[in-house]
Amino acid sequence: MGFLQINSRLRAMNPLNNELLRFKTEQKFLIYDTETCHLNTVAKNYPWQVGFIVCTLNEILESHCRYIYWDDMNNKISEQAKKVTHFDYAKYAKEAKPQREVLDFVESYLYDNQYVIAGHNTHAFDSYILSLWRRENGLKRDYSYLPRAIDTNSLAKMVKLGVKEAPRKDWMTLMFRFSNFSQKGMKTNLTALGKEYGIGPDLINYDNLHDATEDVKLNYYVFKQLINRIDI
Amino acid sequence: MSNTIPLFASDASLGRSILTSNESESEINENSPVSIWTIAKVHNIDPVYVVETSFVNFISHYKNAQKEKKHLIFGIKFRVVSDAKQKSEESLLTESKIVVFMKNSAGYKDLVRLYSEFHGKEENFYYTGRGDWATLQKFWTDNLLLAIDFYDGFLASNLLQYEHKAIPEFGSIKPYFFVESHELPFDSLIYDATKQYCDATQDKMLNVHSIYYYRDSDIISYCTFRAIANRSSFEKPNLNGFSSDKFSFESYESTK
Repeated sequence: MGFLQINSRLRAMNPLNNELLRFKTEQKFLIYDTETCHLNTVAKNYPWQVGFIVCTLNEILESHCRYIYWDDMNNKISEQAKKVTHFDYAKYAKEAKPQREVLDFVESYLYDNQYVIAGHNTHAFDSYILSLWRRENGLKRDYSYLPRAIDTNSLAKMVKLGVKEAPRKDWMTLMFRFSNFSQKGMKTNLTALGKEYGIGPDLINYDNLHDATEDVKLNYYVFKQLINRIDI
Repeated sequence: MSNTIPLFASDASLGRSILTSNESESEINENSPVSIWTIAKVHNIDPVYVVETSFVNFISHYKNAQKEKKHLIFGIKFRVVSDAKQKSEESLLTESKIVVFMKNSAGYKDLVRLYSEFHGKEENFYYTGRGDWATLQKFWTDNLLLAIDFYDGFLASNLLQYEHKAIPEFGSIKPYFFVESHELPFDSLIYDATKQYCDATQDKMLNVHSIYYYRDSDIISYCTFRAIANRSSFEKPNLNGFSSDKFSFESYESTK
C-alpha cells in the first residue's frame, strides 16, 4: 500500500473527517422512487406514481407522494406491473394530478444543488424514466443532477464486493459501473437489504413495498446502513 | 458536433439495425423498412460509411454504391480478447470491440482474411466469433484502418464494467478512437476517458454517429426488434443502458 493510499485510509478512519456522508449531519438528501407502467426505459413508459423524501441522517424533513395523471392509464400499465405494484385504478383516478404540474414539482427538488440525490436502481431505471417524462413534455434529457446522485443498489453491490471507498468525484462512474453488475446469489433488492440490516416491521410495512412512498422510507433506512459500510 | 461521420449498419448486423441494404428508392417510405442507400440518395450522403458485424450485405452495399456512383467505406466490427483460445468467463472480461475499415480495394482481401481468422476458426469461438490482439497484428496490413468502438471499446468497457480488464496490444498499428454522443448519461464519462487517453498517446479521435434506424420515432420498432433478438419483450427488454432514441439518421442530421 503506497503512501497516498495509507493517507487516504487514515483520513477515512478519522472520525473528524467530515467529508464522509456518515458524518454530514447537516447534509440534506432527496430519496426518490417511481412506479411505472412496465420496465422499458426508452419508450412508451409512464411514471404513474412518484414518492420522495427530503431528509438528513437524523430525521425525515418532508415526505411527498404524487399520483401522476396520464390519459388512458389503465391500458398503458402492464398486467404484471398492476399486480406487482398493487395498482388501484380507483385510487389513482381520484388522486392523480396533472403530469406536468407533478414534473415541475419534482424537478424543483431534483435540480436543487443542495440535495444529494439517492434512490434504488436509479442509474439503471428511474433516471431514464425521469428523462422519458421530460421528453413527453417536449423537454430535452437533463442528467445534470447525476454527479451528486447515489444509486443504493450500486452501493449495496459495492459493499458486498468489498469496495472500500467511493470518492465523490467518481460517484457517477461507480454508480453506472455497478448498476448493471450481477452475481449469482448476491441479493441487493430493497426488501433483502432491509431484512439483512434488521430494519424491522416497526419501521417498515413490508407488505406495502412497491408503493413509492413505502419504498422510499425503506430506502432511507437502508441508505443509512450502507454509508456506514463504505467510505462515501 | 461538426464534421461528424454517419456510421450506418444494416440488418446484416444481426440484432443491431433495422436499416436494409436494398436498392435505393426515390423517397423514404415510412411504412416499410428503410434502406441505407435510399437515405444516402435522398440526403446526398457521399461517401457512405457502413460498419457491419458480418460480410453478408457487403455485395449489395458494393453494387448499390456503384449504381449510385457513391464511395463506399466499409468496415467490420470485431470482438477482441487477450487470448481467443482461452474459453472461459475470465476471457470475456478482456473483451472489447474494434472496427476495421478497408482503406482501398486491396483492403477487401485483407479484411476478408482477418474476418476468416476471427470468425472461421472453431478454436476462437466462445458464444460468438472473436479474435485476439496478436492475430490482429499478425494479419494487419497498410490497407486497413483500425478504430476503437466508443460504447464497447476497451476504454468504455474498463470504465463501466466491474473487473473488466481489456488491454489492447496495438503493436505498430495506429488506432483512431470513435467519439459519439447520443444523449446517454454516461456519454460524457466515456468521452472524458477517451480524451484523456488520446491526449496521452497522441492518438486521434473521430466524431461519429452510429445509425440503426431512420427517425427518432422508429425507436418503437427498433426496441421491439432488439427485444426479440434478446429473447425478451418490449415491456421488459433487459437491455442495459438502452435509453436513447438518438441512434437515428434524424438525430445525426440535427448534429450538423
